[in-house]
Amino acid sequence: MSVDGNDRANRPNVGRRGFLKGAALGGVAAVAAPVVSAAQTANPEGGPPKADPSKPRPVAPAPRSEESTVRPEGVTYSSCGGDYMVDVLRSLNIEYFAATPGNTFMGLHEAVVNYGMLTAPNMRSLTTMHEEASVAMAHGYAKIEGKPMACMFHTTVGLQHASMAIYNAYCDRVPIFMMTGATIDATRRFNNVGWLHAANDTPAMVRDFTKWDDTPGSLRHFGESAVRAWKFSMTPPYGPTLLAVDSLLQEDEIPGGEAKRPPIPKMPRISPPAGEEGAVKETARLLVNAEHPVLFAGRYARTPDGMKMLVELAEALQAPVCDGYNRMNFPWRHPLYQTRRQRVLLNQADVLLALEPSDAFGVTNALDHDGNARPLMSPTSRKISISSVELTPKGNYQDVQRYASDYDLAIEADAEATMPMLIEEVRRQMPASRKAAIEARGQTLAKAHLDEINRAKAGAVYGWDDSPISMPRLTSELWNQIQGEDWSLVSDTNFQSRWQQALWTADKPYRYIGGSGASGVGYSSPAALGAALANQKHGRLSVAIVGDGDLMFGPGILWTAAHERIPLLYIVHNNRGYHMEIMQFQAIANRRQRGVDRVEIACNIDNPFINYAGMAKSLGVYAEGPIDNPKDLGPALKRAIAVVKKGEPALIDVVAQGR
Amino acid sequence: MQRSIILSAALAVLSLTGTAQAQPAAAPAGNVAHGKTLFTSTGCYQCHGYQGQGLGTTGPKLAPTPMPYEAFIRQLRKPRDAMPLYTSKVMSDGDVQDIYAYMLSMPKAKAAADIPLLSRF
Repeated sequence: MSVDGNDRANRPNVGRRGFLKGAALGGVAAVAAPVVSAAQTANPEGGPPKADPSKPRPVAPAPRSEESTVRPEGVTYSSCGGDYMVDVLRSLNIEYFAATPGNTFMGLHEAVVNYGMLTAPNMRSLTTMHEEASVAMAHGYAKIEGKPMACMFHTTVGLQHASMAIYNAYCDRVPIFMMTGATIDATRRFNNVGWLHAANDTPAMVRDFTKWDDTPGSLRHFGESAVRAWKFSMTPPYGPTLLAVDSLLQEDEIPGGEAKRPPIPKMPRISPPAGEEGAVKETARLLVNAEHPVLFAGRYARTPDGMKMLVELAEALQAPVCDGYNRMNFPWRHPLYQTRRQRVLLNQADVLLALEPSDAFGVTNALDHDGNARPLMSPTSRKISISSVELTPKGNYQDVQRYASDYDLAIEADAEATMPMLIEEVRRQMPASRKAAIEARGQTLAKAHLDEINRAKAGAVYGWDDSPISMPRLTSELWNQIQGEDWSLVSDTNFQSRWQQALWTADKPYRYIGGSGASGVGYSSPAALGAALANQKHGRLSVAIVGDGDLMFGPGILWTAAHERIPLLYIVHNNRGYHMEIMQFQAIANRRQRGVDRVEIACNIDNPFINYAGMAKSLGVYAEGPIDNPKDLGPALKRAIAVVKKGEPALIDVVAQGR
Repeated sequence: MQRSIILSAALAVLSLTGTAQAQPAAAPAGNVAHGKTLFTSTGCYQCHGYQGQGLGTTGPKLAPTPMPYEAFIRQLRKPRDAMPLYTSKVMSDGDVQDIYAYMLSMPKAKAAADIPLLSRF
C-alpha cells in the first residue's frame, strides 16, 4: 500500500469511540458531552480534557474497539477522500453524477454535493428513484454527448437494481462511468444490514456485461483506476465500466492531510483501432467494382463525424445505405437512404459492407419458425464486416449473436476510425470507366428513395382518423409541431413502426438516439431524460415517445424530470398492453389451438386503465390525456411543447394502436 | 373462435347487412359485420391495425385490397414469417371468409395529398 493509501494497517490505532485521539486532533467540539475519566482533568480553557499524569490511565472497559479497524469518529477534518475523487471525476470532464442515495457511498455523494457542485468546474448531482434509472439516464446522455456521465449505486442491492440497465448499455456499446460503494473492511460494517449489503467481490455480479472493473485499495489507486475506467469506457467498442469504491476511502480524511493528496493521473488522447491497410484496400477494390454494392450501418456512428463520413463514402460510390436504427448513422432524407428497401437491395447485391452490425448474421439471413436460415443474399456475393465488438469478446451472455458463416472478410476494428482510410482508398481506386455507371446507379436509387416516401405517405392514410390513434397520425402530428425547432428524438422508433424514418427529415447527429441495446424494458423513459439533459445546454427541443409498459417499470423518473427541471416532452404510446408479448402470446395459444380469447389475462394493461396524466401531475410534471381522438392531439402537443420550451418536462398520454 | 352461424344463415344475414363488394371471383361470400367483430376478437388488429392497414414490421396491410382469398387462408393455415398459425379449430373457414369480407368492405382511404399533414412530407 502506498503512503497515501487508506489501507487499514496504516490507520492509527484509535478506539471506535476514540475520544482521546479525537481530543488530540482538536476535534472534540464535534463530540457531544464527552465523559471525563478519572485520569483526566477538565481543561479550564474550555478545550479538550487533559490527561492527569499522576493518575493511572483507565483500562478500556471492553475490548470492542480493539476488535475492529479503528475509525476517527467524532473528528472533523479538512480534507477527505471524497473531495479528491470529485477532482478526479472533474479531470475526466464528467459533468453529472446520478444516484439514488445509499450509505456505502455517502462519502463521495456528500463531496459531490458540498464540494463538486459548489466549486468550478461545477458538477451537478441528480437524484433518481431507482438505480436502473441512473444508468439509463447516463446511457441516454452518452448517446447525445458522446462521453460518459457518472452514476453511483449503493453496494449489492443498488448494483443489483442497476444491473439490467447496465446490460442494456453494454449491448448498446455505450460508455458509462459507474461506481458502487463497498465496505471492504468487514469489522467496519454495521450489524445486520451492513453485512446484508456487502459482498466479497461486488462487481462480480455484473462483470459479464461491463467492460472493466476494479476495487481500488487506496486513493492513489482510485485515481489511476478512475482514469483507466474512463479510458476503457471510451475506447471502441465503448462500454460501461465499474469501480467498487471503499466507503472508508471516500469518507475518511486523506492520510497525511492535503499535503499528501495524491496526484490526478493524466488521461492520454485515445486513438481507436482502425482497420488493417491491406484489408481496407481490398474492401475498397470490391466496392468500386461492384454493380450493386450495399452499405449497412449498425452501431456505426459514435461521433458527429461518423454520419458525415458515411455520406462521403456512400456518395463516392453512389451506394445505398441501410440503417440498423441503432444510431443516427445517415440522413433519413438523403437519396441514398434506402433502409425500407433493404431486403430488395440485399437480394440483388454483389457486395455488402456491414459497419458495426449488431447482428451480422441477421443482416444476411432470415429465420423461419423452426430456426432454419434463409439466405437473403446471393451465395456469390461478397460480404465484409468492420466491427470492433469482436475485439473484446466475453463468454456468457450471448450478445455476440449467431455466427455469421457467410462473410468473406471480417475487419476487426472500429468502423468509424477505419472510414477515412476507406474513403481515401475508394477515391483512389475508382476507375474513370466506372463513373458513368455509378452516376446512373445513384439516379436510380434517388428515384427509388422518392418512390419509397410516396409509398409511405400513401400507406399513412389508412386509419388516419382512427381511435385508438394510428402511428402515422401520431408521428405526423408530432412532426408538425417540431419541424421548425432544433429537435432531438430521444427514444427508439421501433414501436412506432419506424414511421419517423419513413416520413421525417433528420440530418443532424443528435436527431435520434436509437434503442436500448438489449431490449430490456424500462430503458426508454430514463434514457430519454438523460439525453434531454445533454440536449438542455445546447437549447434543443427533446421529444420522446415511450411505451406505457416501459414507463411503468420506473415512473419515478417523472419526478426526477420535474425535480431536476429537465425540459423533455414525453408522449406515452399507450396501447394498454405489453404489445409485443400480446402478439407472441397469440402465436403460442394458436399453435396449441386454444384461441386468443384469454390473452388479455396475461398481457393487457387494463382493468383499470392507468391515468398517466394524473400520475405525471402527482409527480410534478405538466400533463394532458388520455387523448384518444386524433383531432385533439395536435393542440395538446402544441401546449405541451410550450411548457417544454420554458424549461420544464411535460407528458401527453396518447391512446394509440399497437404499433 | 367457433363460427356461430351456419353458412345458409349467414347468407340470409348478408342480405340484411350487405355483402362485401367487388370480391375476386374465387372469394366466397362472407358476413362483413361478423368479420369486423372477429377481426378484433381474434386479435388480427394487434399486428395489422384496426382497419387492417398494416403495422410496419409486425403485419402487412390487408385492406382495402387484400391478397387473393386463397393466399389469405393459406397464410392463416400454413403461415410464413411471423404470422401466427390459425387452424380451423380456432378459426373456421367461415370465420376466415367473414374476415376477408370485412377487409374487402373497407372503404378506400383518401389520398395523402388531401391530408394537409401528410402533404407536407
